[in-house]
Amino acid sequence: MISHEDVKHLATLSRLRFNEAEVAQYTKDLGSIFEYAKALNELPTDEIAPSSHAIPIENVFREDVIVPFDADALLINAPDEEGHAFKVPQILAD
Amino acid sequence: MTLIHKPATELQELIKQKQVSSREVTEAFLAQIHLVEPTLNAFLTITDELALSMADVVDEKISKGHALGPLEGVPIAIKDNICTENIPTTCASNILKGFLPPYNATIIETLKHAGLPILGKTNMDEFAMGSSTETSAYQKTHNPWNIDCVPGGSSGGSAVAVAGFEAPLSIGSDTGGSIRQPASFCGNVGLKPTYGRVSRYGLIAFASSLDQIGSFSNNVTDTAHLLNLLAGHDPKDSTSLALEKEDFTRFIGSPKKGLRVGLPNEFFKHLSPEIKALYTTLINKLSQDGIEFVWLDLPSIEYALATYYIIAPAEASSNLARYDGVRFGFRAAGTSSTSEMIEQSRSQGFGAEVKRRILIGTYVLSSGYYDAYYKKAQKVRTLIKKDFDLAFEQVDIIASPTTPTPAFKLGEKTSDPLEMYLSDIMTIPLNLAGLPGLSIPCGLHNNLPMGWQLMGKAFDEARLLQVAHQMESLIGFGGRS
Repeated sequence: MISHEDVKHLATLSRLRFNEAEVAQYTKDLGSIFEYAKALNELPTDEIAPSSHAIPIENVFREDVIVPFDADALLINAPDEEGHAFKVPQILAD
Repeated sequence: MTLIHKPATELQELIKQKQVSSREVTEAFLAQIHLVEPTLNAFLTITDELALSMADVVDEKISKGHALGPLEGVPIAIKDNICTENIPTTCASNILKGFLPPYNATIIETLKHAGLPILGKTNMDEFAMGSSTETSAYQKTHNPWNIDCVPGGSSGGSAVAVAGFEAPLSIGSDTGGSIRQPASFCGNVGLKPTYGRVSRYGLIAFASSLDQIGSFSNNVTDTAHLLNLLAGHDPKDSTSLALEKEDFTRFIGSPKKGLRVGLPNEFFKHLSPEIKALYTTLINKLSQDGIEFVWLDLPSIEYALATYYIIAPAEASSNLARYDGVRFGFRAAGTSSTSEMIEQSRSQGFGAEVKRRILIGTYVLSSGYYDAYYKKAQKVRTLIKKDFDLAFEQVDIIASPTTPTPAFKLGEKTSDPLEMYLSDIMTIPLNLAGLPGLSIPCGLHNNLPMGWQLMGKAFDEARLLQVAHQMESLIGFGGRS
């Protein structure tokens, strides 16, 4: 069963932050969803190969060529920038 | 019949015969958009200028005596999870508020090249996660058949654009039924092509092994013409397949003789008596018209919904890791470190349903649970695919209701996620198997449309559309007056 602690741990892994009410709500939601998903255990699958895709997928190769792009066009969406670079808050502590 | 009530192929005939210009057609749809949007809320962005300038290019071609390509000059609406250069593309999420893609999705390049004026970007469930378009961070879209009802989802805006006569054609995406379910709720034709048939380059990823771009239109013929434009290999999408070019309209109008249609028992089990009666009447009618139905079993299908709600969130939790507030999209203000900035940006930028799926996906992918959930689901996916393969040895097409109920009321299912997920129980199996399917309207229940889902073999869209056209003619659904 999913506990409040599980949801808090998942939140950390997912880079999300929740208040206590949200933790309670998601604990309940995930609990009922995984309860429903338990039904899969009724199916014997030991001899079955897993499918990551429905159709056979092969790796696709191409020549390694440089395609130039317009830096200004990409930086239009930057939340913060300085000197043609994406700017973020401090990464390392003092 | 006014312009906005005509199907796309008829509109193009009128443009070709110079009875109307592409600009007049486009203006008619833009006028309808501005008239009904305060009520329906199907669009997030309306691109009047772009649409009219594209229409003018077509009209100039005509004035110079150049021949027009298929559907050229007929306007179209686009779901807001498909990248349009310098036009806001938000996935109906706050985390992408104001995002201006620096490039076009491949299908946008295709549609621009083919000369279909783009009317705007349509509302959807946030990141296509939902079945009613109610998880949009921006607005609630209403069903034109009854404005107290949801349009379905996640491509609810695109379904309503066509049902509300705001566009003769629209583009959606279908991960677990996000085209077929809203098409059913809104009474139009919604096609999900085979996985790999249409390029996904520029479609903002939700669950990459399930996502596929498709369309909404007023009839099967329009759908086939639009697929002719959309289909094709794209080197920019490693899952798009290099198949020979084909004409998907080629069988339309010549009914298939000796057609065998499979009816999976599992899809008819959970229907209410009234809905079951509606489909029994439909099957009896089509039988009398010479279509042979065969009841069959797809035993693993009962597990499709559970399988989907492990695989799709797993892929989503990985795909959505890119939203970190660093390079584009929303960034939370007033944070003192990068890790806090990322956490706050994601917590404030994503809505509740998206967060729920990220948590589910993170759980099933974490060590200790990976085999029990994710790998198990991938194995069941193999069984589901095998069930379809076996069934298609006996029949040409498989048919079922598209949804277990007609459109429900706004707010009716928002408090119980599992209840909402159940509305996709009929459409999800096909995405797991990667097969093509479409929904055509087949009748009314409480004055709301119901859909008839037709499913085909992989890459057999031409046959699927032929049978859909045949049944569409026999059903004679009148549409919304």
